[in-house]
Amino acid sequence: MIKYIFNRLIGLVPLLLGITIITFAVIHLAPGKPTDMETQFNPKVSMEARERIAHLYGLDKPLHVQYADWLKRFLRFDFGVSFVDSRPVIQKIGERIPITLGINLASIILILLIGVPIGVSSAVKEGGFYDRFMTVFVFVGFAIPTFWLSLILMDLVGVRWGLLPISGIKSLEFERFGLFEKVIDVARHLILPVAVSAFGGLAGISRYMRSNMVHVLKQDYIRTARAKGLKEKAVIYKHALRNALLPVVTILGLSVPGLIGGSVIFESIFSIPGMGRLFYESVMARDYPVIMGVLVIGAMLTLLGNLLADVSYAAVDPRIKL
Amino acid sequence: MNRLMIIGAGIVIFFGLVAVLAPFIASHDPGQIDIENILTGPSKEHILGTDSLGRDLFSRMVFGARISLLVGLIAVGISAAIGILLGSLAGYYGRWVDAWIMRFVDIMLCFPTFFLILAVIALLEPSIVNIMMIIGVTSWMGVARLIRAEILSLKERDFIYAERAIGASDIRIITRHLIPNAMAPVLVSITLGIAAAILVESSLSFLGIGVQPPTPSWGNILSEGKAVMGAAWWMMLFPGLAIFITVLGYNLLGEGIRERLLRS
Repeated sequence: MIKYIFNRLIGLVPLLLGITIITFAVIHLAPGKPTDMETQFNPKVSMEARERIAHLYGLDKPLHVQYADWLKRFLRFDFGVSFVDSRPVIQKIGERIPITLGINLASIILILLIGVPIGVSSAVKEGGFYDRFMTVFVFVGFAIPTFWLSLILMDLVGVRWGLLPISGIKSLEFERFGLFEKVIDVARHLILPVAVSAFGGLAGISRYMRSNMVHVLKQDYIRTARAKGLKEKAVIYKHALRNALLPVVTILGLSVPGLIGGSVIFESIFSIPGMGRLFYESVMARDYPVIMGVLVIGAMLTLLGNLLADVSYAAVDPRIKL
Repeated sequence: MNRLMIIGAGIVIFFGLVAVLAPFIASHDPGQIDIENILTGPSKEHILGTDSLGRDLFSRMVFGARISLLVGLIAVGISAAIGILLGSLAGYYGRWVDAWIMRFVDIMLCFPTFFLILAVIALLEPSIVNIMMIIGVTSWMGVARLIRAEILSLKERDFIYAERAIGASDIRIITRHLIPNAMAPVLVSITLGIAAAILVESSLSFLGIGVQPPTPSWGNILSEGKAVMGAAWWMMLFPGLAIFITVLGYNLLGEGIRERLLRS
């Protein structure tokens, strides 16, 4: 097992290198210099000063030298400092990651808790009314724009009915709350964002779960289980479910980039200070070091998600020998 | 034809017609400002109401359909072209060509696509052409994988050996025989891709870095709708519904085609 994980980690190195090259290329092929932001609209800044700033950030060196420098610092997790507030990029990203990961984790758990039962019960009653109803629901889930759903929920639940807060992750009076109240407060703020980010993924997982389950239920070992007189419940939940659940692990791993990417939308709508919002703000401000940092770290999280999925797949499936 | 396909195709054709015939369907000039009728609800004069500059929402949505569909179709055209090219090269030539191309696919798949799109769009200035390009360039990986897998199995078939035996060139074999035979699953992927591209465009426009006002797109109308949330429900409801139904239409059509292919 340890050897397998080690080999997989080695295999990630070329991917990681590719990720850094693409990130670097994207940022540097774009017209407009990072120094524009600090100097362009400032008439007091002379050409000379502009060159000095470019020199400070190493922007006057040839591209491959810039890349090599950047890669060297990247290996020490040093992404440089933000153009906007001169704070270290890694620090800025570090304080945002837990929020984004926390919300995504919560929504993955929600997706599994709701999506798996939906998929299983649709498959068991394949073609019935419930199954068809759920198919419609799945198509709605695929097609509904996240930002529209967020706005509708904000308007109804937050503004019209006044049930839940609609922006940020804590109330203004947060500091004066006791611990218990603090937890409740954050939870109340996160209900809508988590619900919204789970909704899209729910459709995918329940549909996937359904087709797995339909497939598994047609296998010989299920017929054997039925033939030896097992109760239908035991057949479905002990024999079929376990086998149908396995590939879901992989799908969860594959859904990581989508979830992280989607965080831009709901984090900016609900004003949540997570990685998506940081990225959006940095893109608007052409804060190159932060953009590169978030792109690379986002891609690394994806790699990590896939690795975790594969390793846990291997761990639960006895047919896979390591 | 199955039911999914019929409903999906119906929606797709309906919105396609709306986009093509926009000037004849729109009741007003979509850019005409009318400060006496700001944010009026649906009425006989303005069937879907007016926006915060008094422009007719119905007419803006009708013209918005043009933008949304155009971006969706062209973006997917670009991604299909790249995907088919790289996928068929990888599948046909194998060895190091395959290894390098597929490694590139793996790397591209690592990026949260929306992050990549956002970065490039904001750095390149948001214009309709740029949006189509960047959506296309970041979404070809699925098509490449499908085409490659199809070609890997097709190229060992007898009719391809026969082609080789009569001296057909690689290009002829790939473009005349392999790609046409590999297109079926790609068709599903392309149809679903249009839905995804429409969603991405509207998300970008909603965030203010997609199609720029005053050009109407469903996403940027919705973005204006957010600003007047609570005061003008029609500004939020109708553009969202339009995106939702269109995306639903392409998804249904795609699934319908998939089902049909599975049966045949």
